[in-house]
Amino acid sequence: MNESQTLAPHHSDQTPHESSNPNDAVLSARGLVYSFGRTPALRGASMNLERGEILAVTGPSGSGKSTLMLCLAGILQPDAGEVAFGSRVISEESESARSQLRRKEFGVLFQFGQLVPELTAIENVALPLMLDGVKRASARTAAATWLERFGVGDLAEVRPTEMSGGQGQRVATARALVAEPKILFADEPTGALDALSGEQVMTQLVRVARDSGTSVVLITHDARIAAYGDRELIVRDGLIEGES
Amino acid sequence: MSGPSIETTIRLAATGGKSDRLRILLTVIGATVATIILLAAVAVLFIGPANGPYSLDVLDQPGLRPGVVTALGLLSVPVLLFVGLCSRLGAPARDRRLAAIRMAGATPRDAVRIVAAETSLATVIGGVAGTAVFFVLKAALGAEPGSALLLPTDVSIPIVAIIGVPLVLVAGTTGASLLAMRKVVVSPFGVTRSMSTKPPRVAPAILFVGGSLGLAVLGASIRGGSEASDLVLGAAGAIGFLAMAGGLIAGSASIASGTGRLLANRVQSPALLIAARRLIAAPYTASRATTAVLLAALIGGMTQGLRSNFLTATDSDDAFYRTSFDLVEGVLLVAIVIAAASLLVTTAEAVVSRRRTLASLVAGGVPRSVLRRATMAETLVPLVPTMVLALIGGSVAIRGLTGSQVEIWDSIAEGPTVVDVPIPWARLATLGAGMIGVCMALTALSLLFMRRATDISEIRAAA
Repeated sequence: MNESQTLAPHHSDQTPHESSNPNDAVLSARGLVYSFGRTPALRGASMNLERGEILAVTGPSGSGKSTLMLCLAGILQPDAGEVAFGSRVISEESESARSQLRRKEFGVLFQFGQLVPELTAIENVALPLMLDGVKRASARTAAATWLERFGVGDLAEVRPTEMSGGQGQRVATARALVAEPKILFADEPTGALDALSGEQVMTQLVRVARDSGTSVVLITHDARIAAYGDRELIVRDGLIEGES
Repeated sequence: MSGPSIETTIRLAATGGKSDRLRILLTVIGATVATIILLAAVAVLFIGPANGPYSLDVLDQPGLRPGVVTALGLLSVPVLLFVGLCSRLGAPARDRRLAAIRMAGATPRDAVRIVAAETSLATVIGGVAGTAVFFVLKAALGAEPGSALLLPTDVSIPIVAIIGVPLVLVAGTTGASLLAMRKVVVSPFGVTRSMSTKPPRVAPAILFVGGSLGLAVLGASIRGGSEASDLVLGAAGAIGFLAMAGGLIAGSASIASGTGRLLANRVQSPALLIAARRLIAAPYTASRATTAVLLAALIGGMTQGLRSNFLTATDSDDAFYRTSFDLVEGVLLVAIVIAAASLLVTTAEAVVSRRRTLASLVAGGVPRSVLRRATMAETLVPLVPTMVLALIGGSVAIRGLTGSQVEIWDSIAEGPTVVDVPIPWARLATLGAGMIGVCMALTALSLLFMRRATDISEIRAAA
């Protein structure tokens, strides 16, 4: 497969994954319900994510797509339903266990504000490894490699406040992937960027995810960004309305 | 148009969210306490021959009253610093409000006036409340006729002082808030604060050492039989103390930055790394938070040096001096708690203002315990060396001023003899450990905000 085939936005013609064999899924959700006070955000959403798949989750503002991601990543605990990561039902695990899972198996990427402003780029990327007990020098070496992969190796000693939005988001993506997670959750990762920077971030994110076999849950309301996914789930009123 | 009316300015100043109301409330409380303390100092100052007697020697003996007035004056310093630090509370929300007001057509001068109006208004309320509370307490604590009074509740305070104390407070806090806004640019798109990340090193060291040496020279001059008036000697002593205090406070930013640099490239712990980088990036934040604590430590060190000197020169069992020093230490303890309260406000504010980054880190799997440890380390790392410097510096400076030896009466030899004044290491260590303990306890209390600040909803909060 050449690079253009790998990176170009496309959708597969596969059978919907939700209806495929859940045993192939790296992550699956069944009947997720979540409410913010009296306002329901999810009303029984179910889905599967396959190994190495890039899944775009789209929908209008307030449809529940971000809440779905937060439940899938174990950041929020659903009011009802379950989320399974392999054989683990993570929706039933303690906050501490879910936190550890996110650090080791998942990567999380938000729109902005996730880098520690006082740490340099290389320290930000090394942080998840140091949290897992990796020695400083080794963590920095690994971080440097990931910064190079995202084309920001020359910014290693620069702090986030001195970077452009696109550069910062590439550093944040490197940090989300440095622990080589099985799944990357990205909530509007290009939402704060201009079109060109957004394209650059997405191109690099998709390339690295494909290379490392990382599955990606990509939350977006932008059709151009959603086109980077292998499959698109459409969320509306807290339910999976359909997929393409 | 010459800008908004006073009514509009006050309305805009008092409009805000929960954090704005909390800031105003804390400023009012601080101003109330400061007013009470300063009115108490005025009451002691105006004790006349017709007043008393008092059960406390420090009030009963006219020669000791200036010391009480000075102690109360110094006690108001951490309270006023607390008021100053409160002005930083909820700063991000206020900054957004000011930017929106600028966007609506207000000039930069109008924005500054709104900030100053908020502080003035809160201090006026605090001043009035403090005066009322003072007179209620004065009436309530008045003793039975014929018995010795505990406090100077029988003193008539001149009306000029009653009005003057709150007015001076309002003028002082308003002036301080205007001064703080000097380096702030309020534009329609946000608020920018110019802050140096490279604090001066040499000047604070010169001030601190110079002040200490100045006190030693002054002490030698007094012991040598200087003919200068008490006023001149007092002024020289005050200048020496202020130079030391100024050097210590200005130097604390440099110490924070230096310890941060020392750690940042060596530590293995993520919590320490975050703390060290925070100290390098914002050394003045750490310094501002500990200003009142360091002043209390400097005065504490001096008090211990003085205590050691007095109790060596006199009978160490002398109840008068012992009680007097115990009282001074009691005042010091109150000052330390107030000073540490400033630390609580600053740390809580730092946690709340960084909530989006903290929430994102927690969402990414960073344990909250790491963030808590980072916050604790950010306080502790610069505090320990500056605290040691303040305590030892204060004690040594007083040793320089009063001498390292005193002449006492040797009852066995039946003649005068010269003995060394011991350095009160044990008391200094106890004081230092106690102060650090109080500071850490209050910093830990501020971490109660951590869970709320790292809630997932904060990821989408405005910066």
